[in-house]
Formats: sequence, structure tokens, C-alpha cells
Amino acid sequence: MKTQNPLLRAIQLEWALEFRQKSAFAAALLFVAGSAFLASKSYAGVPPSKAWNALLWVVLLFSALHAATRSFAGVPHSRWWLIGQWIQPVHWLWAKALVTSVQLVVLGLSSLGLFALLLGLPVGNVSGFVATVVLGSAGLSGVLTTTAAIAAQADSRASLMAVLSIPLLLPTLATIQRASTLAVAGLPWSELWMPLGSIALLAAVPAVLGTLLFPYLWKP
Amino acid sequence: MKNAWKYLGLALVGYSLLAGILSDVPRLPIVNETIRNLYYHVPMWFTMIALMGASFGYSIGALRTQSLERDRRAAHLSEVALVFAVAGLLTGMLWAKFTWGAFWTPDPKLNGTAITLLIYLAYFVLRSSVDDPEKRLRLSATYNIFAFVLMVVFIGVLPRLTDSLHPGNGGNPAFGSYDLDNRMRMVFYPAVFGWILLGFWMAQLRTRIENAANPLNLD
Repeated sequence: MKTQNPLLRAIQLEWALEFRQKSAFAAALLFVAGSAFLASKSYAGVPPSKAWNALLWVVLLFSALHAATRSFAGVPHSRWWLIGQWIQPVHWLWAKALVTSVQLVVLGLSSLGLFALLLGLPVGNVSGFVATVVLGSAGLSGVLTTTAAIAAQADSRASLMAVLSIPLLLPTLATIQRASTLAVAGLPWSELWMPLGSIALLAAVPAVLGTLLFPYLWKP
Repeated sequence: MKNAWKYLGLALVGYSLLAGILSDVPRLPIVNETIRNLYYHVPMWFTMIALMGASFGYSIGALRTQSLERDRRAAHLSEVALVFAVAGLLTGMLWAKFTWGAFWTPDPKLNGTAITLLIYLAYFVLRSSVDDPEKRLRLSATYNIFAFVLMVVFIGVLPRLTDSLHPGNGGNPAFGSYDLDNRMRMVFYPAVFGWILLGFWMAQLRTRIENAANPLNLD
């Protein structure tokens, strides 16, 4: 299926490339499964809801870091040139961010499912919590994609990625914590709009900045 | 007199250091004499933000013109800004011990400061991990711009969403609302202005020392 729209073409290309390397995404899923299993072994029963919530997000953060690091670091430098022939830099960034956020949402929902299966689901407002996981995981991708693009060009990629992105993610994570704590405590939707809106805002700002800055990062 | 701003900075800081101790201040419960920390703690943040803003400007300039000199200046301004951030944190912690009873509390403002420190430390880690100067310019300038704008959003927007113990938040009176009287302004504003000038002087010296040590750096 060929499409003429350059952005759609970029997304299609990115999706195809990601799909070809399923092992890496599977590794991130395995990381989540391993952590959830370990947590279920150490707790033997449903952990207190606050601990459950913290565990879920710590596991999710590190698997997201793992998945996102690969998004640019997995691309050999020679291929940056090749891709540059086909698509515009900004479209590539958007395609990366979109594919990464889809991956992170899948990771987030799978972690939630695994945690519910292995550790129980001590959550009051389940639909609100699912919405927080979806929005929160997708919201991480704005910062992660841009820092991955920076880290991929530096020499020590994996460690640099964590150093660069965790400080920038802390405010998003704090907002996510607020939303998910409220949802775990069983507060109604009317109380969740405000923190969910802040997550969306904190996801939008890095996306706009990344769009402005990516052309400068592009020059190989 | 192209160095007049340096003497002005020194004079203003010297004046505010002395006047900060000697001048009369309002007597407020709990805060008492620690209100004088306004002259020593708050200017650190103003200076830090001014230096980081200048560093942000130099990074934009460096990206547009590919000038290594501007990139180095951006880094030096950030270094000095980090010194002021640490000074602001220490003076704030000292104040917190005497008014809140603890050096560190999980307060939004303190979290914002910790995040700011981490972001700028990450900037230096990034710089030191790239050897090629042109690539370092590109990567670190991009990160500096990205981080500065996000930081402004974080410290400007997020603390307003939650309560804070800090003066000026969550129902606590700010220094400005009723207790910053005109006598205090006479010390506070010169202190802010003086420390900002001193901060830029420090950054300039930092650049000159580096240039003197590596004359071939000049482009």
C-alpha cells in the first residue's frame, strides 16, 4: 500500500523498520514481566496500593527508557543519510515519536495487565487509572524521543540516555503520580481532569521543542 | 570605563551584604530575624535564572552560527549558574532549618530546584561525553535549549498546581505581600542587581581563563 502523503510514508517506513526488530520490543516486555514476577514473589499477596502504584511506574519508566533508547540508537549512522534521502527530518522525528508512544502505551497496558494478574489490582477508579496509564505512557515519548536523538549521536549512548532524560521526565512523572494516586484512591473522574490535562501539557511542550530543534540535530 | 559594571556589581553586593545585617527589618512571628535571608537567598535564584537565560541565548546563537566561542560561553554561563543554584539551595536549607525545622522538605519548590540541578548536571555530562567540538556544539546547544524551556515550564507552572510551604505559595505570605516594606526594598533590589552583575563577571572570567589556557580555541 503506497501513500503519497510524506508524513504517512515516514510513519509507514518507521513502523515497518520497528516491526522488523521485534526482539528489542520483546526484551522490553520481558523486562516488565520479570519485574512484575519478582515483585509478586517478594510481596506474596496484594501490596499496599501506594507501593503497588510506585512499583508499576518504576518498572514502566525503566522499560520505557529501554524501549526509547533503541529508537534512534538502533539506527546505524550510515542509515541516517539514507533515510534523509527519503523523508524530511521533522517527519522522521514525528514518526519515531508516534511509533514510540504506541510502543509505550502497549508496554504500559501490558504492565498493568501483568501487575493485575500477579499482584492484584488495588485500584479504586479503574477506568481513570487506565486512562492515566495510557496518557502517561504516551506522554513520556515526547521527551524520550528527543533525548534519544541527542544520545544516539553521542558516544556513550545507553548511560547518557538515562542521564539526559530522567531529570526532564521527573516533572511528568510527578504529575503522573498525582493522577494515578488519585485514581488508586478511587476519586471520581471530575478530580482527574486537572492532573491529566497537566500530563498532556507536559507532553506537548517537548514535542513542539523537539520539532523546532530536530533539524539542527539532523546534520550527520 | 567599560569595566564600570563590574565595580557597580561589587559595590552593590558589598552594600547589600552590610546593609542586610545592619538595617532594620519587620518583626514577624516564626520568621523573626531570618527574614534577612531575603537579601542573601533570593538574589541567588534571580542570578541563576539570568545566567541560564543568557546561556540559553548563547546556545541559540551557537546553533545558528556554528560558533564554538558562543558554545563555550553558554557552557561557562551554565557553570556559574550552577554555582549560584547550589548557593541558593544552601542558603535556603539553612533558612528552612530555622523556620520549618528541617533542612529538606518534599516541597514543590525544592523539587524544582533538584530537577534544575540534575538537568544542568546532565548538560555537563553530555558535553564531556562528546569529543568532536562541532558535534558537542550541536548536541549540547540543542539539549540546553530543550532543557531551559522545559525547566521554565516546570518551575513556572507546576508549583502553582500544588500547595507549598514556601513563602508566596499555598496561603503563606510572600515576602512581597506585606512584609517587604520600603526599607527592605532598598537592600533587596540592589542585592539582586549586584549579584547578577557579579555572576556575569564570573562567567566572563571563566571564559577568559579558558581562552588564555587554550589560545587555539579562538575561532
